[in-house]
Amino acid sequence: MKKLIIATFISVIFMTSCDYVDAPYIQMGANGCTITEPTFTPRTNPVRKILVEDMTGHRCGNCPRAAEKMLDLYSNYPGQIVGVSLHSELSGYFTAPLADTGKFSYDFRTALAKAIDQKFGVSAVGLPNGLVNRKKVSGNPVISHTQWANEASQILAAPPDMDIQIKPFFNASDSSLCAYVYVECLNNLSGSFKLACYLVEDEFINWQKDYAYPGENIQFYHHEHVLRAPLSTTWGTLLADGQVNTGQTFVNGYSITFDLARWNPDHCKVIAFVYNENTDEVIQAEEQKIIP
Amino acid sequence: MKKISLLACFIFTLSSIVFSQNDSTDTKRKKDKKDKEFNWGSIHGNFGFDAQYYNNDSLIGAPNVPDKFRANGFLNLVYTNGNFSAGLRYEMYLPKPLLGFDSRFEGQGVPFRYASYRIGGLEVTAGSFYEQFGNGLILRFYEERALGFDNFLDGFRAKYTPYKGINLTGLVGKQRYFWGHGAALIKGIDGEVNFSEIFSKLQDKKIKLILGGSFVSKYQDDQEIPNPDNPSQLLKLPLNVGSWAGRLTFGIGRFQLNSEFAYKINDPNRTNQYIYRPGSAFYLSASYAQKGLGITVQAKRVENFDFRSDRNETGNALLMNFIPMLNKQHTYMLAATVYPYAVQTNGELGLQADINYTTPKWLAKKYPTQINLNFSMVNALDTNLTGDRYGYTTNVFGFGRRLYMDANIEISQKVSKSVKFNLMYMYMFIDRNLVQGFGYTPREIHSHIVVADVSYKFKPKHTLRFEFQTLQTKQELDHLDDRVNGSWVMGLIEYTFAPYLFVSIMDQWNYGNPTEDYRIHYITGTVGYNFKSTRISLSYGRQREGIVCIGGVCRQVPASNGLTLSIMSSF
Repeated sequence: MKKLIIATFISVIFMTSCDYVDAPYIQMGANGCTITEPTFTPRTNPVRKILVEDMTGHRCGNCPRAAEKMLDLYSNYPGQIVGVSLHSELSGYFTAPLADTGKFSYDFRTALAKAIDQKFGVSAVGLPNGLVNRKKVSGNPVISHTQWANEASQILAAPPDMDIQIKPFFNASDSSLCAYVYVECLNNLSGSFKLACYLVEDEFINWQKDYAYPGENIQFYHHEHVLRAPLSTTWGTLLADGQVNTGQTFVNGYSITFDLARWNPDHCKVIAFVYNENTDEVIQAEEQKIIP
Repeated sequence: MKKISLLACFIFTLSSIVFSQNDSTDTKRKKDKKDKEFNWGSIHGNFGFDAQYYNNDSLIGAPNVPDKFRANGFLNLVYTNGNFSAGLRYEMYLPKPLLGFDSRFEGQGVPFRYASYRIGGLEVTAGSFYEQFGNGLILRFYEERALGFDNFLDGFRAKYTPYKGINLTGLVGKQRYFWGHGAALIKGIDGEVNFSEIFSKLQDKKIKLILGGSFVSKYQDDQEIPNPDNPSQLLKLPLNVGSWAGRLTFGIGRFQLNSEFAYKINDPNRTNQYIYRPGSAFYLSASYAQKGLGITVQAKRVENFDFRSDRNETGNALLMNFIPMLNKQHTYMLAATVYPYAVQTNGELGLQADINYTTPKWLAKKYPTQINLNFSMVNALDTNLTGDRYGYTTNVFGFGRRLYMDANIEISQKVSKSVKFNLMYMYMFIDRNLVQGFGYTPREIHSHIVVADVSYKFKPKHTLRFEFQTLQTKQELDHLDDRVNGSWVMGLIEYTFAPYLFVSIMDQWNYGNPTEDYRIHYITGTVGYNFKSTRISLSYGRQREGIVCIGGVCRQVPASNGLTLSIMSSF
């Protein structure tokens, strides 16, 4: 009898050695986050927020004009703009660092910016240019900075379809960041929805060419919303393929270890946005400083 | 296997002589103690060495071997003393493994070592060991040196027999991976109850009944594996993959049935393109035997059952299980090696029937005729793709595309005291692309093989053997770069001076190859010498490119030209 009990016990241990995975078989949870998932409370009055992507370059003398437009949007639509400045290798001369002059030696470029640029063809049109919610206007998602305000006002006029909340947890002892992103669906929507999450840095001071500045080269230019790294994969995590319904929620965690030599945690923020993979159009965006 | 215990024997004998002169109890006890003290146990083992000197031969497609000389060698040593045993194996692959063996074996060392002891019904092994649960559907650790296949487990194993007829096995460890270990930790338990051993009444009635069950699980750390359908997503991987199997052996009189069913939970891996459909395997063998007649009918169905201890591995590395091959294991060169069948662990349905018949005395007169009839066929599964990561659904009894078929008859007849012959005819079909994993475009080959094998013992101990084989098939005009294409003939002459010496010369000729340059003669001469338990052979010539399969497990062998020395010895 004793042996039978032992045998049964061993069997039970072995039977638990099975991990059944349910559809859609892809990672929906915390990608390497060691922090327990926090609780999110739905907001009472969520608002629509848009993603504005500014394809720029530190040696692009007209690009500060686009950066100014971005700051105007932040002022005119407080709490409704999520801005990103992308430095893509495909912009060539505008983003290439200079090795021997002491100026413009910093390399802002990221593989993530290049991938986005490649997909939407912004550099191919020329700088400065950008994307507003990656929405196509007359079939073209690339929008001149002079049109951003107009486009933003139209999109922001509609009530939100989703709400996003971000809870970042930065651990100074090992420079790790874990960010949980909560997505709540406010309407029934059809499509394939993905959540992307990136790291962005504000107030980064470095050289910038500006044709409106005497001498053209500004040494202590404040670079805002500099795209640093993906927290999710480049194109994000699939939330639902087909349809989402009102009240449906998703929580995903993402983690990254900080490159302290290049990124200042005090100035960094996490941005997240949900987009419809079928149209590439962003449904809702959010940003959150990692150290309040 | 000869035991070496010279010193123990010497002391034992000496002490016997000395103490036999005194019969007092006291002295006897001392003698016993002394004997016990000097029981040093015994050592036995075996040794193998294969070396090859390579010539350049671009005509046959032999790869250039800059080091010219390569050798594989091993030495097994096993020490036993009563209930205790320990062993090790030294291996060497220098300067690199022989062509056709995985280059990751390069080096030398002692990968295999173990210690084991037995107390009553309990046997415990720590270190390296081989094991098989049932037919091996969910667990088989074994070595097939000719394939360069070795997947032993390094860990801990306990075997327990609480009662005669009841056997339990539990094990945990990691598999050999060349000179290291596989990524996953493997745990397994197996239980078997032999009712015929427990109840003697069953034995009296010639009834055999064995029931068994096993469970095997592997744990591998999480990894970032992109979704093949959408590389921006990461797959959610099962870290613990479990599988279980139940088996039954039932025999009554001359009839015997052996069957096993196995199931494996979702196990996305490289060989199944990371799909999440569970796997299953079913094996059935029924046989009937009486004097002069043996009939075996077998069937199997395998679905998504590649089970290995690293989800990213392919080929033969880190395989944890074994799917039995239900095809005749041919020994004649052209039948066995031109278009061999490799078991498709991720999906196949197979059937085999095998009949052995020996003519009775009244019909055979002086020498009976032995006839073997064999038929086997293997088809892919009938699947419907689901279009997502689940993979596919299947019709359980549906046959998909045909992978392989083999129908053959073999007749052995002794004609006189000095002459005997073997004749074989075989029809074979294979879809090379499906079987060798080259895609879904059909590459169907139908071939007819005839073999005549005649032995003539012209003097006692002196035998001449002649072998003629031909493989007839259509030329594949859309594969003109293939050195295995079209019809073949093969001839062999062998002289044996039993049991010491043999000399042979063999030629394989792909005379039907549509590319004239590839109508190559692969000529090999061999001389071999046997002495007690040692065999040395030396051969020189060309070896064609091809696939070597043993039990449905295969390895690709490139062409080579050169001198091969092979030594095998045991002690």
